[in-house]
Amino acid sequence: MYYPGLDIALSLLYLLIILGEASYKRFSFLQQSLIGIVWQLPALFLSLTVLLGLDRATDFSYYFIFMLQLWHTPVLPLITLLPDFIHLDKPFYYYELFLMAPLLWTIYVLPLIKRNKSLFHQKKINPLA
Amino acid sequence: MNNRFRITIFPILVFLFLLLIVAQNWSLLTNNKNSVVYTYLHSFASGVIGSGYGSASAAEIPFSLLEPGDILLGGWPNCAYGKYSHAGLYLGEGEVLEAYVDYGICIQPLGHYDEYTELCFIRVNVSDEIKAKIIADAHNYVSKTFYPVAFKQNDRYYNCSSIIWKAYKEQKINLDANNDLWIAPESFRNSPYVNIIFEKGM
Repeated sequence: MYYPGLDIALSLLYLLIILGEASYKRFSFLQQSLIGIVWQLPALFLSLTVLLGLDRATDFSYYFIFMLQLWHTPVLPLITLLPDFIHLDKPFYYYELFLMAPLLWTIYVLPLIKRNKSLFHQKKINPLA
Repeated sequence: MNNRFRITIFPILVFLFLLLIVAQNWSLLTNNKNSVVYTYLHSFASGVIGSGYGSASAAEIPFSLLEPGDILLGGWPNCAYGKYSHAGLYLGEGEVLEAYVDYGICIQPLGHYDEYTELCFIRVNVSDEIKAKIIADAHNYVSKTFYPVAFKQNDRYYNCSSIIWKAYKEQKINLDANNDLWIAPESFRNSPYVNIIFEKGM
């Protein structure tokens, strides 16, 4: 049985849960940033290996980008909604695979940045006034 | 919400969906020895997981036998999902519609098929008119997203076999006799709609 669009709904739910998790006030900005990096470490490692060409030094270079795509499976349905075109012989989604780890990290720390910003812009109130 | 519960929401949902898929397709897992999942699990149990490896002999390949709409299958020994690891749709004039993780759905020259140790050319028994439609539509798939474990029924991401299955299915030709969740190159060879016009390898 095929349920068209269910993958997109699940993908959005995944992002919502991440945002919900990120909004939960437990960690400092530095701690949450580090958690985000550790969470996306496999993707960062695979992306850097492919981008720096280090994968070509192995006998299984093809599998690096393959594993990167599998890692990003939860957000892949959303990637397919973006326009598809070819740039420098590669499809657009290929570049998006490398951008996805920093993007997910940003989503994870975004609520904290917003919270810190609002604290920064809070008006000073004179308790004696 | 309780911390311990929050962190389990997504894994529980994924697990439930997987359970639903497994329940709906239990016969593919247990009874059908031609199904992709049965083949893969069987290979996995024997320690084979990839698409295989090897080097082809320098034999002359009769590419001139090919007509637009034919399917090319290529494979290496130790492929986990059947004798063939890759499939392409011949578009004519030396061009093949294929799918790779780093190129997406793309059109590639025919020549690289001589690198496979296992090679098979398949002709689908449908009219030239249907094949002409398939070839014309094939170009619309270029640059779409590749996903190695894409389900067969899908509108947005494909692998090398599912894109060919989809192209024929659009013309009401179902090349998967197994009615499987996934389609592997080997499935085309077992389809009742096809004739094998050339085969090389084991």
